[in-house]
Amino acid sequence: MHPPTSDYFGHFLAEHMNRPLLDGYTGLDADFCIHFRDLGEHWNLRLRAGQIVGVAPDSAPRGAVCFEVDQPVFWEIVGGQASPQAAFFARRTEIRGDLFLGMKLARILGLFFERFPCKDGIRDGRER
Amino acid sequence: MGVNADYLGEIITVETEPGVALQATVGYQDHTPLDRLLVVFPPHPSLGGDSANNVVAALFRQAVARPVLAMTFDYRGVREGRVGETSLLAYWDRLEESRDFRPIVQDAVAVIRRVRDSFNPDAALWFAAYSFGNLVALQAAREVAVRGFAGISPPVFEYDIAPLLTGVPLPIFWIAPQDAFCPAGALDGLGTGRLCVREFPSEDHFFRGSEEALAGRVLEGLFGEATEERPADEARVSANRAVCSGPAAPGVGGTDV
Repeated sequence: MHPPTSDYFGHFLAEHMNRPLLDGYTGLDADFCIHFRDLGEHWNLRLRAGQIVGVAPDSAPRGAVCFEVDQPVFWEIVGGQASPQAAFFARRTEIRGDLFLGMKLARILGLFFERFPCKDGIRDGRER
Repeated sequence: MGVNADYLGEIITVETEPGVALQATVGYQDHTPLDRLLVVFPPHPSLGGDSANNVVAALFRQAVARPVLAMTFDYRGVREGRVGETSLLAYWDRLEESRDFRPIVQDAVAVIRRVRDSFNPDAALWFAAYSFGNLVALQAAREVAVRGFAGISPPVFEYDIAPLLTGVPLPIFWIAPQDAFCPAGALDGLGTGRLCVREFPSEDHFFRGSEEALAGRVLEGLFGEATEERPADEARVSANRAVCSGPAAPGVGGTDV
């Protein structure tokens, strides 16, 4: 049984908002979406200068890129047990929209998840 | 890249400039001839590209199995996540802005020369490149003589590769018709020299699930059937302008452009 996705976006990720996801990297602005195929949920995120500055659930995807994922895989990825790239190449996730931007976002987010894994949905933003 | 148990492999570390060390993974079997070396170039680090990429790994594995002495490597900063004090992504963003990839090309040339010298300084070089790796490989081919070149899905809308095509004898390009980075027709009329374009059925740029079949076709196009030494492809094709080098695969189109 997985915790609700709002635990991640509303609590864990919220602790990392408004500061660079990666130290020394401020090079990307993007609006993107994470679509939970099995839940029918969309979470829209706004990245500015390498920082998450907005995150909200929505009924529709917004932004240039949408990552499609099922909840179990999502928790593996944000827990640092699988990289976004590996999940994509194993067809466990899909990228819709701007593929170039999507791959770059996947790289950035993968490094963030590696450094700040969220285990079992616990609300712990401590660095690994 | 991990080294499988069914072949020999070694890691060679090369310091290409103070503070910049690259690692090459070299694969071979006991009976692998050392008269040729295949270099496999990975895709873009900013997009997650490294020597463990699915296409790169398939090319490397299958080359070693043929057996062909093969090497691949990671571009600067990929293993460390940084280049000096600069984060990997920030460093590569700067390269992208400048469009000056000379440090990366010089790294590649230095690593290739070191590996070749370690095994056989007279080994002929063959290049196989995927995505962004095409840009690096084509530039490196201007500094070291290359016997054969296979490029997979060169991102022609992102980079101008046309001026670089004269550096290789007869490049063979493999494209997926629906690839947004290099769709069917994108290579038509490119450059002034001759090149061979083959289509490989795949839904996009990434060849997920078909990387092994792709790698087999690419290597077959470069080297012919396993263990068979082929004469210089460029000479054979010059005599017959209508034929791309290497055998065409079932379901795979071939266009001599």
